[in-house]
Amino acid sequence: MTAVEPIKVGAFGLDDRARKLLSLFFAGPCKGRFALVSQFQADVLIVDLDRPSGWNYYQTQNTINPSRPLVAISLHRDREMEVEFFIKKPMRLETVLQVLEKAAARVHGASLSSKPPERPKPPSPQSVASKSRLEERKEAPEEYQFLQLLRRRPKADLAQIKAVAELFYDPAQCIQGHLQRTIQIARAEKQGMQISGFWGRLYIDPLEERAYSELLDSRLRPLTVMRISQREIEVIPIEPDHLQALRQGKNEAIRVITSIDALLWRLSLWSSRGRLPKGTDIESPVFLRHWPNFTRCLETPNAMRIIALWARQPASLTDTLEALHVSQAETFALFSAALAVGCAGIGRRQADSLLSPVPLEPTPQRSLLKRTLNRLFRHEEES
Amino acid sequence: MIEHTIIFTGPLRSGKTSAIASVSDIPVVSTQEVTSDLVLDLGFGITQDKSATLVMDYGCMNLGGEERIHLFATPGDERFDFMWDALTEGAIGVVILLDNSRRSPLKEMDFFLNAFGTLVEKRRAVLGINRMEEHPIPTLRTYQERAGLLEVQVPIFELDPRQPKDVRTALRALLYSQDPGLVQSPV
Ligand SMILES: Nc1nc2c(ncn2[C@@H]2O[C@H](COP(=O)(O)OP(=O)(O)OP(=O)(O)O)[C@@H](O)[C@H]2O)c(=O)[nH]1
Ligand SMILES: [Mg+2]
Repeated sequence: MTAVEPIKVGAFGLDDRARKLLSLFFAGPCKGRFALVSQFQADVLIVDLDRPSGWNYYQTQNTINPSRPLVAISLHRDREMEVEFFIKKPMRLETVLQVLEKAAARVHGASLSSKPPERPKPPSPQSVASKSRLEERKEAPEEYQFLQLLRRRPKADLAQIKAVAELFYDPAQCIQGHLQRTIQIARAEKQGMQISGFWGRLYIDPLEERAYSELLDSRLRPLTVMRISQREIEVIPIEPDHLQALRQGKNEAIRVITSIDALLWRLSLWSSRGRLPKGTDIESPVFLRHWPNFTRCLETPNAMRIIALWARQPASLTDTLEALHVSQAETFALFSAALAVGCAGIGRRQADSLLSPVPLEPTPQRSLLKRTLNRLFRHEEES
Repeated sequence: MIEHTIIFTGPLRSGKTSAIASVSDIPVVSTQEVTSDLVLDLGFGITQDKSATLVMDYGCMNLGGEERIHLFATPGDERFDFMWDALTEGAIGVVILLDNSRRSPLKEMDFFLNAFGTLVEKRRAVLGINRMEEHPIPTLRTYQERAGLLEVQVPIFELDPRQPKDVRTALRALLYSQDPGLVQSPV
C-alpha cells in the first residue's frame, strides 16, 4: 500500500483538550489520513466561529489565502455568514471526517486524484460516543455569557450580540493606530519620522505630506490583520540627510511612495474590514471636515455618496444606512478610514428634536445627473 | 437637442483643455469652430467684432438620444470675468483647476471660489490640484484648511488633467455632491 501524505489540518479557537482529542482521532480512526498542524502549515483550516474573534478570523483567512479551504464550526448556522464548509456543534465524528474529505478534495483534487485516498474506516459507534465529548462546551466565559443572555432575551439575540462584539476593533492594537500616532508626532513636530518593526520601515514626511514604504501593498496588507503591540514598534526621527535622500529617490529600499493620507486611508480600510473603531456611537452625528482625496485614496463602494451626504449635514451612522440604503460594512469601513485621516469626525449625540435626519429629496435634476453618471461609468469600463 | 454645460476653469495653463480632452467624445476644438445653437446663443464663437469675442476650448459628452453636455474651458484671461455669469447660469457645475507649480495657487483658489461663488454655494463645484507630483507644496492639507477657513465645502482632489480617470472622479464628485441619493443604473 502506498503511503499517502497526511492532509494537514489546522484549527483556530479549539482549546488544548479539543486539540488532543482531534489529533487522537486523526491518528486512530482516521489512520493518519489527517494530521493536526499549526495554522500556518495547514492545508485545511478549522475555525470555531463561536470564539469572540472567530468570524473575523474566518474572513481574514479567506481574504489572505482564498485557495485554502476553511471549515467553520459553530453551534448555529448563521445565514448571514456565508461559509463553504460547515460543521454544526456538537460535532459528530463522521461529519467531521466527511467534511474534511470534501475540503481536502478541493485543495488536493489535482495532486491526489491519481492515487485514490485510503478511506479511513468509519469510527465505531462507541468511539463516536466517547469522542463526542469533543463538542462539549469548553471553558469559554464569553460563550457562556452569550448563552445566558440568549435565555433571558427573545430569539435571535445571540446572533446579534455576537455581531455587535464583532462590529468593533481597536485601531491602537493595529498597525493603523501606530501609523496614526507616528503621523501625529511628525505633523506636530514638523519632523520626518520613521516607524519600523519586524516587517520593515515606513517613513513619514509631514512637510511634503508624503509617505515612503519599504513594503509593497501585498506585504503591508497582511500586517493589518495582526495585533501589534507598542513594544514591537519603533518610532524615531529621520535624519535630515536621509530625508533628503528619500525625497530625491535615493533610498533604494523604497518600494512605494504615496501621500500620507492615502497610506493611512488604505491601512485603515484594511484594518477595519467593515468594523468600527472601538467606542464609536452609531447614533452620534458624523460630520465632514473635508472630502477625502478620492483620486488617490481607494474609493470603496458608495463612498462618494456617503461622503456627499455627510458634506450636506451631519448624519449618524444609522441614519446614513437608512438614507442611502448602503451596507453596514461599506459604511463602517469608510467611516473608520475617514476618521483616521481626519476628514470626518463624530459629534455628540443630539437631542432627538435637534437633529432629526432630513430625508433626501431627489433634486429636480436627478435624472440628468444620473444619465451623466452612467455616461462616466460607461467610459470607466471601456478604458 | 437638450443641452447642458460643465465649465472647466482655472488660471493659465492649469490643464483645462487637457481635462476636457480627457472626457470629451470629440477632439477639443475652439468655440470659433462650433456652430451649435447653444454656443451661439450664449454669445460665444464667431461674431463680427473679434476683439470682444470670448473664444473658449470646447468638447462634449453625448448622453445618448438627443442630449449632450457641453464642456467649456474659460480662457485664462481675467478680462472676461463678466462673461462667466452667463456661462454659469444653469450649468451642471464647474471644475476649478489649480496649478501647484505656480507662485501662489492658494490665492488663485480664493479668486476662483469667489468668481464661481454661486455654483460653489450650490455644491456645483469641485477643485482639482495638478502637478502635485513634481510640486508637493502646498500640500492638499493646506488647501483643505484654506477651504475650511473660507467655510466652503467643496471636494478637493489631487488631479492630473491628462488622466481621464482623475477627471471622471472629479465629475462624479460633482454629481454626488448635488445628490447623494444618486445611484448608477446597471449598464
Ligand atoms: N506634468 C504635468 N503636466 C500637466 C499637468 N496638467 C497639465 N499639464 C500640461 O500643461 C500644459 C498646459 O495644459 P492645458 O490643458 O493646455 O492647460 P490650459 O488650462 O488649457 O491652458 P490655457 O488654455 O493656455 O490657459 C499641457 O502641456 C499639459 O500637458 C500635470 O498635472 N502634470
Ligand atoms: Mg486651454
